[in-house]
Amino acid sequence: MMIRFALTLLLSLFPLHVKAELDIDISEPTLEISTGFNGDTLTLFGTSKQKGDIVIIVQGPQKDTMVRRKTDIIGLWINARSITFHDIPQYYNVASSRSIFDIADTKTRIDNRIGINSLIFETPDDVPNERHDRFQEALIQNMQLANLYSLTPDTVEYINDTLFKTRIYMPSNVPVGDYEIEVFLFQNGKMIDRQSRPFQVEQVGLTASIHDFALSQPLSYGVIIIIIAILSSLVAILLLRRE
Amino acid sequence: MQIYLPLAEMSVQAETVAFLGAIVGVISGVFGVGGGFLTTPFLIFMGIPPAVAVGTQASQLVASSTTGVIGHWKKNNIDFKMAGILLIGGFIGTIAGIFIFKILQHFGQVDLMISILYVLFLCSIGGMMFYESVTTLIHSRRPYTIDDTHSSHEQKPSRYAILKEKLPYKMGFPNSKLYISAIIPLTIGILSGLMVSIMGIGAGFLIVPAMIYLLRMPPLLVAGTSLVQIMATSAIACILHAVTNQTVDMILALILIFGSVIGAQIGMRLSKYIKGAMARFILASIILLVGLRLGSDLLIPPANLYSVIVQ
Repeated sequence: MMIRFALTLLLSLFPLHVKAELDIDISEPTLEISTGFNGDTLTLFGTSKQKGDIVIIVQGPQKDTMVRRKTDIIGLWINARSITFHDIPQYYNVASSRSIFDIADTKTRIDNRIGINSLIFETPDDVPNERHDRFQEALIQNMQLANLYSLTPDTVEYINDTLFKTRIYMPSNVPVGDYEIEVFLFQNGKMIDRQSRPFQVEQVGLTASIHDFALSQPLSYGVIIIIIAILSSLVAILLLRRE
Repeated sequence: MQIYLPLAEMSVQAETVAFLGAIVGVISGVFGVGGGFLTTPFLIFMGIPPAVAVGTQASQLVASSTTGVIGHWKKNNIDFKMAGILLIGGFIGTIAGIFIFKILQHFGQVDLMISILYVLFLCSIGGMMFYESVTTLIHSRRPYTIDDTHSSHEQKPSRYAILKEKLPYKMGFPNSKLYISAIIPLTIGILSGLMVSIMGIGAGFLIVPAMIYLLRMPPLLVAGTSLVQIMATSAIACILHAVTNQTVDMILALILIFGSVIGAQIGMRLSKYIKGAMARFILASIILLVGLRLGSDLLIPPANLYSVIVQ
């Protein structure tokens, strides 16, 4: 009890982040998806009190993800082996002021999940390392094909000595959910500061209403669609009737 | 124009989807099949999640088949008694299919079973129809607009014909001018219901050939009667998908419906010019092509061996 009190006192006297070296803001605090949504580019602005290397990571809702591999069995290509990975970000994008390989060493990158090659996906399945790596590689490639993982890191530009910015592309199939934006400041390979802020992707307007309706009242939703289908064919018959 | 789909959680090009709807509508209007065997693979090809593709295309089938049903109804081209028995069978088959699906799931490899069955069905039905229609077209000296189904089949009674005679519960179908055992249409209905719930597709391409070759219904009544069955089973399937899996996307459904009601109108008008063996030849070719395309997926080494499923 005493120790905890002393610690609290100490922390309040010398707060760790009283002078955050980094700060970040985003063009839209929430990415709103409505009927016309076809992907969007976010602009992230940040300030850094010291000059250094900046790394920005945006990663999306984490879900368990299964990877299946097709195998040739008696001439038919069928899904055979599969691995389920835990808590896989459904979106991952990294931007940096110069090559992330020059900014930090491998261990730092792995510890902070900086860069696609530094991600280590966990699985409860008991699989040999070699197979784990192959399946993880395939998962990353499939995510890249779906535009959900960046193919090459984006660049962070310094506007002046303290102000920097980057642009992050969110494709039209960007998953809805909670995201996290992380900023790192490195100097000579050493992490000076790290800040993060949450970010949301959500459906709004008509899109959101339809989504909610489909989930909350599925029976009426289904019946209404059938009624629309029948009515629209009746309307088409009346409109296109030849006299 | 890009439109965002709330349940598929992605955007699609509305024109492309409407065009696909229109093509399926035309096919539905001309041949009296639903066309789900075309819509589903195409939507999946566009990147729409398979579950949403299967759930949503059912709503489009309701629209395109309603147009057909009303058109054929006005011309008195529907055998409602036959449609009713097919529907009863379809209902039994659908319920049984749900249980069989659960059993298959228990043993794993449902996907494989489904794709093999799908390919076998499409290729064998397509192949049989293709062979029959080509022989009829070649041997026919009359123009193909006159129907000639029966001429090529009046040979000595086959084993099937003998069985057909022996089956009990004979029933008269005045519209079709048939007096046959109710067991035959009921079995066809059950098989189609099984396909709907196990394979997630409408079974128009099974029912239409079955009506032509097994029931020997007058060809004029085949399209309208099968459309009644397709309309009812698709409506039930659509509501089931919406309730159990929430996989019916209303925006996607609206675009597909828009395209298909227009396509169905065009198809109804075209159906006057495409008849008999020629119509069967075209339908058989489409079924065969889709079957071979899906079959090649099983046989040709895929470019990407890995697939990802988010849970």
